[in-house]
Amino acid sequence: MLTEREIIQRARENSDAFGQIIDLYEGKLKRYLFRLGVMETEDQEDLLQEVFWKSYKNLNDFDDGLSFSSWIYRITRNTAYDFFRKKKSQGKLQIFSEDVYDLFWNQLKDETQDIEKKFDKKQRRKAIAIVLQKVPEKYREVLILLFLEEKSYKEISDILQKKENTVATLLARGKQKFKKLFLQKFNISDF
Amino acid sequence: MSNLKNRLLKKLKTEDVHPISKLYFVLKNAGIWILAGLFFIFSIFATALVFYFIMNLEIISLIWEAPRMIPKLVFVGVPIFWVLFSLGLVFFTGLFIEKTKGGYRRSTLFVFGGGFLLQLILGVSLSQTTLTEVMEKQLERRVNFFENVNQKKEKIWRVPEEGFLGGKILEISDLENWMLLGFRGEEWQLKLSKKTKMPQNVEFKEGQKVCIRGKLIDREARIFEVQEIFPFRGRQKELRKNMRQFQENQLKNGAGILRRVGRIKRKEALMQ
Repeated sequence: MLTEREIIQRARENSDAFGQIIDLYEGKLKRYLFRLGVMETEDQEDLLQEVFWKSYKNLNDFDDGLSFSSWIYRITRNTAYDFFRKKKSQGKLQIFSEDVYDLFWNQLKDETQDIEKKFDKKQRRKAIAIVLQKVPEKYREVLILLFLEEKSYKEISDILQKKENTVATLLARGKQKFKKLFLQKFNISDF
Repeated sequence: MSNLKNRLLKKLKTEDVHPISKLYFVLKNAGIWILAGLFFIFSIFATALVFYFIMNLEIISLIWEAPRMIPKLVFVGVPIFWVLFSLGLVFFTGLFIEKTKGGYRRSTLFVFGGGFLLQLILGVSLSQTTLTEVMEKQLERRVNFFENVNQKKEKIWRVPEEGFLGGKILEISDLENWMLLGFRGEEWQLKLSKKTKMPQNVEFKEGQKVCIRGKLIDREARIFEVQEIFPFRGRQKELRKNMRQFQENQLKNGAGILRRVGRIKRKEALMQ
């Protein structure tokens, strides 16, 4: 079985080999686009096509010192943000699956014991989705990459083209912001 | 085969699309490095010019001697434009480096701090060469707004109220009374004494440009007490140059300056 690097090398010479890259990443990138807030299936398809088109054309720009996954995630992220800019909107509300909800809830549980008693899981889940939507974009994308895409700091640094220290700072601030907004949301209790 | 994959591979084939050549990306990255390099080289020249000005105007020693003159010295003497220009250039160098492939991984402190430090070291080293002097002359000729060191220096030595006076020696009547044509075109009567500091190996002549530190005695009558006098070209620079000439002269003609001073003293004794 060919390694990812070998597939890339082949794809540089023959477009058919690029099909294997599409097979490897189509699902992951579609999910990532959804998490970034591209909700319509049609938009996701269009953006994915654009992402793979750009990736193929720029295949020779891929730095072998980088992981291919980080490189293609970077292209996907930039394409999605271009799309949001053109539409003058940002990602829409997302309802996450059970495991995603648990991940974010774990970030909050120390300070939310009272909330746990007062509000049921469905309400809390909706709150997480709403709050995540309100977290400023620069923090949200780091939270998404770390908690949802399970990327390492180095990978996030390569995707966002930011230093690892900056990623760590954004993450710490993002968590704080998320907690603050979440607690505010419960105090207002308007959902 | 997924729809997307099907569609995309078909499109790539029908449109005969190929990956962009590696050379294009190599050249693109090299272009950014070249730009960064050029900005950095310019920043070194700009820094050299700043230090050339500061050294030639002897701002640092003047600041110690006359702290009240600091605002004027900084405003007139420090070429603010070139300071900002050189800092701007090194900043853009850093930005370009960050834009290179993998540039985001380099530490900001290393890129900007290191760049600044290197610029300073190379700039100061370059300012010690004759290249800066040539550069200054070229700039003066080509750039309208460029004020050369001498023009700036004249501005500093135009404040008799603060003890800074400069100009051309009109007449050396005796050891204690000289006449000076100030940089504003006004005539000054200079009062020298035994306490007046002057470089031992410099022979002052009529028509020579000088700088004087001292005290304004009468603004209306334009009388100025001289505490220190030295050639316009600068204390250190002129002294070094004159030291060599002095030694040569001494060997050739005997003590030139002493002879001249002796002559004046004899003349004074005769008059008494």
